[in-house]
Amino acid sequence: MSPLATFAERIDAWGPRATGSTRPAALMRIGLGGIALIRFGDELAPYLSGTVAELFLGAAFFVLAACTVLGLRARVAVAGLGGVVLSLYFLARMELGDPGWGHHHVYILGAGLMLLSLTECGRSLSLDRYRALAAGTAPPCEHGLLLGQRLIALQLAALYFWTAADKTDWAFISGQRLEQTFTWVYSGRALEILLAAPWLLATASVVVLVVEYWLAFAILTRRWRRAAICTGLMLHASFYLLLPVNTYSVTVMVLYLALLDPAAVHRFIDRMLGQPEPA
Amino acid sequence: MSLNDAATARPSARPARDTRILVHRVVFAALAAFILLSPAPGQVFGKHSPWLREWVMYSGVGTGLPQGAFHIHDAAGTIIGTLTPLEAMGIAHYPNTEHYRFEGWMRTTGDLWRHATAACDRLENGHRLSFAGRVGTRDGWLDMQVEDVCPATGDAS
Repeated sequence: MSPLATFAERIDAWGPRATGSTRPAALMRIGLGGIALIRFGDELAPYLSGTVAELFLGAAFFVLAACTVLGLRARVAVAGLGGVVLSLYFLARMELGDPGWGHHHVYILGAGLMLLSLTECGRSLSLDRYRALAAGTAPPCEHGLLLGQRLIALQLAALYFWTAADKTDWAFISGQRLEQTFTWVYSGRALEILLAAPWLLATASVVVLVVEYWLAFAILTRRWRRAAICTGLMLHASFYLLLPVNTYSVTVMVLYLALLDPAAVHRFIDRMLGQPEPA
Repeated sequence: MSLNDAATARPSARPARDTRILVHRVVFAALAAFILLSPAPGQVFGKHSPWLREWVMYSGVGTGLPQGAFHIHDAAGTIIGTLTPLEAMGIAHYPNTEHYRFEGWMRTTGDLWRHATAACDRLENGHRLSFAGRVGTRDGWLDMQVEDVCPATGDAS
């Protein structure tokens, strides 16, 4: 078999043909649904609606978000919620909605939900599963295609690569762009002291750039995945604490579930529930 | 026996299963290509589209902000006071979010007055406001000296 054919076979086995436990997808479903509620809850609440269209949009959002978190008709709800979130994003991009909806955190949340809807995210930890059990029918098998999860992993890799590419210039590497960002965020606040250390900003800029390029590839490799996940989580935790990017940070952290071995997540939950390990 | 096993066991189900795998491959390839390459038109070739997300987050935050000192001059030109950019705006700190809707954000190097409207409003007759420092741009800091920041009445519209 030629190297190209071997590579194609590996991609095929990793992506479109891969199957595994549906529990990580279920955890992502609950996490992303909760983030959507927190991000848009106070903007789409029906009492704020100025038009009937806004009222329907708000109502659809809350019904779909609730069904997403609870896992009721889960895949449809997740796809619907992703559609609503992406609609808000594109409305803003076309200057028809709130400018804040056109930001990267809204896109990654909507895209994450749409890709999650390609998984069997309702088979675990869901009302769908509970209803099947309550009805006395066989509960859905907690096993399904991982295609959506693999695409989420690719989305994270693309995000890291392209954001690193955007930072690959002297203005960023020299610390100037980070200093400008910190001027906006920290002026008049306690952390303004960081602006007095340009060498620290330059060092931090180089570290961020190297880490983002590395993450773009490391999260997709078995060899580096564990280190990449730890590094990435620390990176996003520091973003959360140091910059006003909390929705983006927690969304990406939840999407990291797509990088984990589904079988390991399944076994971990079994252990936490005190269930015996399979022989 | 799972549904998948059952499908494998029945020869008649084989074409349907093959079709399903083919669909999965096509969907995966199309979405993977979109995810990986869709930022390229904007980020590589400068062809921006609202439909294609570019991963340039936070790249514009801090641009258009001055860093330096605003000086108040009396009629003789003597410096009688110095203000930080925040003091010139009359605020304690910049808002948490919505950088692009910030009133003090300079769109061009010629509209520093946007940042100093509060100081300009407080300026006494015959006094002048100057600025010495730099302004953030996408390419780094740009040195900036402005002798008379405040526009003449009616020029600021």
